[in-house]
Amino acid sequence: MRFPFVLLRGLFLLSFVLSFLTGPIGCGTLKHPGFPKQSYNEDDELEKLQKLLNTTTMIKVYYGGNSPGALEGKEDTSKTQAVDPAGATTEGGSPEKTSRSESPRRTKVKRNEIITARLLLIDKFYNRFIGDFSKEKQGLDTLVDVATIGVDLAVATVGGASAKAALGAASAGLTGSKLSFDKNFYFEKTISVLITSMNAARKKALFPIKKGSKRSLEEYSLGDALQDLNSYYLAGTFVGALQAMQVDAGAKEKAADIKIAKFRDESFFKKEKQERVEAILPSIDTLKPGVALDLLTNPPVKDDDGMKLVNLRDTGNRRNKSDAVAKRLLKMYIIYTGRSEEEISAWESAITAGQ
Amino acid sequence: MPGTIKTREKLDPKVSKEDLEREIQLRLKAGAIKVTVEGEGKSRTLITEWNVIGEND
Repeated sequence: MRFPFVLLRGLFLLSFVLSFLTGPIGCGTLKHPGFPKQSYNEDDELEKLQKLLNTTTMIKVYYGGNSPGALEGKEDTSKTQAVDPAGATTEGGSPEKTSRSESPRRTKVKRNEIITARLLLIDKFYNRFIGDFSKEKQGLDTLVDVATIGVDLAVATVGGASAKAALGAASAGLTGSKLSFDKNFYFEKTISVLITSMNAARKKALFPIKKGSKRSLEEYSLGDALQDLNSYYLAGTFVGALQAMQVDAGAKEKAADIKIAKFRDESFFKKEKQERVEAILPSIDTLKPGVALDLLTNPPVKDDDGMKLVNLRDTGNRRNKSDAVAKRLLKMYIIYTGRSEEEISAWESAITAGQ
Repeated sequence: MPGTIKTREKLDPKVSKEDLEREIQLRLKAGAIKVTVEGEGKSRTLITEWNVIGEND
C-alpha cells in the first residue's frame, strides 16, 4: 500500500508540535535553559537601570558638563563656585576630605558611583549574553532532538519502503542541520572553554578597578577607571577570552626565575633585624610624593639583584608615573638588601627624612 | 611577558625554621604573592614570588 503524502506531512507537523510542547519540560525553562529563574524580571530591571544609571550623563557632570575643556578634564570653576562656595560636600551633606584634584563635583565618591553604575550594567549585560547564548544552543538542541525522535518514531510505525526512506532522510536532515549549526557558529565544545576563560579574565580585570576605587583621585582618576572598565567589558567577550588564553599560555611558557647570588646566612634572618625591616615597610606608605622613586633611583643601600628584580617587575617603568607603584617596588627592594647595622640604619634614616 | 617573577636564595643550613617563618611573613607584608622553602640541608632554597606590575594587579 502507498503511504499517503498527507499523512507524512501530518507526522512532520506532529513532531514539530511535540518539540515545542516537550522542549520546556526537558530544560526546566525555555528562556534560559540551565539557569534558575531569577527573583525579579531581568529584562524589566535592566531597562530601568539603564535609565536610572545614565553613566554618560554622570561622566559629563563629573567633568563639568558642556563647559570648555570638559573633555580634557578641566574643571568649570565658575559653575563649581556657584554650586558650593563653602567647600566639598557629598550628596548626603557630610563633609568630604578633598585633595588637590578633587572639587565638589569631582570627588572620590562621585567617581566610585560612576564605577559602580558601569560595573552593574556590564555585569547585567554579561549575564544576559551568557543566558541568551545558552538559550540559543540548548533550545536548538532540545528542539532538534525531539523533532528527530518524532520523525524516527514515524519511521518505525509507518509501512512502505518509500515512506521509510522519506522519513529517514528528514531525520538525517534534522541532525545534519544541528551538526552544521554547532560547527559553524559555536565551535562545538570550545564554547564552554571560552566562557570559563571569559569568567577568569573578568575576575582578573575587576581587580584593578576594586583596588583603584579605594585610592584617591590623584592615584586613580576617572579616566584610569574608565580604561579599566573598558578592559573589564572586553574581558567578557569571545575575542577577549581568546586573547586572555593566548596571554596565559605565553606567560606559562616564560615564567621568570632569578637566582640571587648571595648566600643567606643566619645573621640575615635575625629576629631583631627582621623587626626593624618590618617597621620600615608601613613607613614607606607615608613617604612624601616622589621620595619612593628617588630612593629607588639612588638607594642608600645598593643591591644589584634587588635592582634587577625592580626592573624585571616593572618593565613598563610605571614607577615613574605612579607613586603607589614606586612604594611597592621599594618595599620589595628593601627585602633583598643587606641587613648589617649600617645598612638597616641607612634605610631608617632615609625613610625618616622622606616623611 | 611573564605574569610573575620568582627569586631563589640559597640558605645556610643553620637558619632555623622559626627564622624562616618570620621571614616568610615579612616578605608577604612587603607584597610577595607566595613564599616557600624548598629542599633540605645545603640545597635548601627560599623561593619568593612577585607579580609583575600591571599584569596581575
